[in-house]
Amino acid sequence: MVVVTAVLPVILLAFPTGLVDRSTLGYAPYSGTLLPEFNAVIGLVLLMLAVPAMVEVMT
Amino acid sequence: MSEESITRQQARKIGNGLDPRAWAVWLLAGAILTMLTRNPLYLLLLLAISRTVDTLCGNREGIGWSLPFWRVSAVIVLFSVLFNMLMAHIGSTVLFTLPESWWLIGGPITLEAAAFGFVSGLSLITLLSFFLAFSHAVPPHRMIQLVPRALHEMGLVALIAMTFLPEMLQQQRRIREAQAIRGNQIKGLRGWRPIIIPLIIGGFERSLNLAEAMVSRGFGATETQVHRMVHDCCYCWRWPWRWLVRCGWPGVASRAGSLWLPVLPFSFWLTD
Repeated sequence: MVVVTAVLPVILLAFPTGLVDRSTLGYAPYSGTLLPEFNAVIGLVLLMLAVPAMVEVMT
Repeated sequence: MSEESITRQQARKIGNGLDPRAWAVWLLAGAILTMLTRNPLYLLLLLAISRTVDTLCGNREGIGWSLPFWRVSAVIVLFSVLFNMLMAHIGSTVLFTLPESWWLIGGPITLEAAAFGFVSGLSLITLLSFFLAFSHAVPPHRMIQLVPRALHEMGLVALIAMTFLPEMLQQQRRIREAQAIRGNQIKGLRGWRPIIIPLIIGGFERSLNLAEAMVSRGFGATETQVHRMVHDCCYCWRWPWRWLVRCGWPGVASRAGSLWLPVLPFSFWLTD
């Protein structure tokens, strides 16, 4: 389970699968944008990496 | 204590009982995702995740010293921000201007450059945090099992290098405590002498013990070498005789043949 939840975010965010909007991943302060956007879906996808901690809490 | 609770404790000690390869995949994924994004909000989220995993799954028992993560992180971020502010003079929000005559750092210091430096620093400390969580979750002896067979020796050297500083600091603490019990207080450079000398000697002893243990387990030896080593160890007491009989026979025996006569019947046994 840990392996799957670790590999899945990489597949979703590193490759253009079309399932997740990846436009907010980059951030260039020189273009004048000081506050970056936060995509909740990407946040949830990244939270998958916390599975080892969740397993620890549950056991 | 029941058997189940013992097993659970053991599982906790080795980082959730997870296979080290699963932890390696987790580390790799974390590192890729950290390098994939430049958005500080995602980086902060990844940092929080790695810190949580480290806190809950990391095993700190038996580790004499651990990296003061937040202090190191503050230094990294501060350095990154300052370096970028001084080197990159790009951006529209000028905070102040350094004289143009100042080589390399002269020019406008901008908020954008500071922001870029902050993001770079954040990215670095997030990576560091993932590696720290991995090293706390997977014990060193299991970590070395992840190294491919062909790189085993290199992995072991890296492992020894990794554990050198924590062990050294642990020993230094023990020596300091022992000296404090004897009433020795550190005053000036000379006060360090009773600590440094045992520390160096202890380091040598530890290295020798490790080397002996590795040699006795046949580390780095091929099958032929192991066979020869075992053979030499078992028959080393014959060496002087063998040398005398093989090298000395033509010269010495011809001149003092009578002295060698008692040995002659045994020479075949000695040299086989």
